[in-house]
Amino acid sequence: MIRPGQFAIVGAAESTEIGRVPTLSSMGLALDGAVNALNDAGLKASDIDGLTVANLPVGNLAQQLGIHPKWVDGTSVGGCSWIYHLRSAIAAINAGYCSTVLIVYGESGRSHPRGPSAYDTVKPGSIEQQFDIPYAGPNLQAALFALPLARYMQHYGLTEEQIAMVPVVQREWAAMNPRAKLRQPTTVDEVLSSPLIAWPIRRAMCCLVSDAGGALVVTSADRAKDFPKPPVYVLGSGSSIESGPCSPAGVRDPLHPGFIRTSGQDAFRSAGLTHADIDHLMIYDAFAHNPIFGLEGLGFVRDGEAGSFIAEGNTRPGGSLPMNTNGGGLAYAHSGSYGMLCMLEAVRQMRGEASAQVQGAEASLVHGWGGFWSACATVIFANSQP
Amino acid sequence: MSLIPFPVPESQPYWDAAACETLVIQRCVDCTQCYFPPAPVCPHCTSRNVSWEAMSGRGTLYSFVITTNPWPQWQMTGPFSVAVVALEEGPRLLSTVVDCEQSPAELKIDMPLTATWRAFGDGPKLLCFRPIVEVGP
Repeated sequence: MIRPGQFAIVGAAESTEIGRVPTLSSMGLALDGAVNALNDAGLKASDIDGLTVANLPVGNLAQQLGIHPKWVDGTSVGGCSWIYHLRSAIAAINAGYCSTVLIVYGESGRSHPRGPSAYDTVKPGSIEQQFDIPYAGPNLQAALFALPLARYMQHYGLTEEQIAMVPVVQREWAAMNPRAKLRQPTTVDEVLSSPLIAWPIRRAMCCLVSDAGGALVVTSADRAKDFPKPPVYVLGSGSSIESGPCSPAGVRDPLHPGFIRTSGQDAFRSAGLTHADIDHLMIYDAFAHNPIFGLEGLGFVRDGEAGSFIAEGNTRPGGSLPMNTNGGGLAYAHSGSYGMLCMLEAVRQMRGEASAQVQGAEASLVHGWGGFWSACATVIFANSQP
Repeated sequence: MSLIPFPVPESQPYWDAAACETLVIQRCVDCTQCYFPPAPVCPHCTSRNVSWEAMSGRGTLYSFVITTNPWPQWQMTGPFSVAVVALEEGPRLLSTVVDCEQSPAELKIDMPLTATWRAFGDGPKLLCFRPIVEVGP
């Protein structure tokens, strides 16, 4: 068993620029983030002996960093892949396969979306290509991701106004973050008068389309105090997959999703923490309803209560459970795969260096999705060892 | 990304039947449950003892969105539904509900549906659903 706090993040950084970066491809953004994370950790590339990346060839990344890693992981399960990578990296270090792993992300989702990072889950003859994509239409991300929502609204009485409160609250966080794309306040009326994309999802309920890169360096905690930045300890984690990459139709019970519960319960159990211990929360918001499903599946509120929990202000600045404090995918940045940016904001919060710093925060939970709500992963960070 | 479904050996019987506007999916001979998408192994019990079977075509609307832009292949303009349909025989699949107004007022969760087939570009006709109109007393 891996003990809570046995491993730590010792380097963490985003690409120098995010948002619109036409001068870099996905690989260029990945390299820029990787170099920034190495500098943050005070490491040379040659100190890295384990490497992970999703949606880009891991061998090409190693070549361009000039390194010869002993262990690599190129798994892609969608936007939460980098949380999976962190779990695998810890297991690999624990097994003795390597000692210092660089987890890298880069995606030119805005400027060069047809570049080599193409999200290649939709191959001819795949289940999705035959049975899902023909129905999804050009707005397929919103259409597929939001499929469970209408049934949820009917079952629990969630209103469009409550969904609209998610971007309203997250803009309050974004207003404090100079790197956030959308920093102006917004209102429920403004959100509900933005154009429909896939009812009940409107444009202001959809994430941004950005370019971004970033990377993390993870190693064992007994080495962690040798690095320039305060270590951020990994207390626990979980993950689960419940359906194919484009098939929310295959989730057994979308109103009580087992895959979220499995991932969250494993994260809490392995961390030895309860919900009351969590001071800061990142729930991947590709669309405004995602944090609602996440809050419930992770057990922070009872099923059906997350809409009112957010609308009542619990996740806003000064609330009881600060969530998506960089502004989220809805207001900060989102390049197609957002899991790394979720973890980087949590690391900044645990280091005490976030733009909208949650004072006194000691433990942070990050939860990401993949494959249009068919995969998820959870990690719990803390700024001290238990 | 090609939008025209590309059959593989495991799904060929589905597409052969679809060409005749018939919905077939697989049933496990051992555990008797139906499943979708096509596969040589039952996902309920991992048995290889499975067979193709014609479905009733009846189902209910499990959930949906109404997307503002259809693919041009559907030869439709305006909003159209992307629907999760629960077949009477058990499995859920993705489809669209046609022959009714594409609005949350008309598309009702759990409304009864029946299979219909629509042309999709140059490819095969695709499985769609339409409301079952209740006959009054």
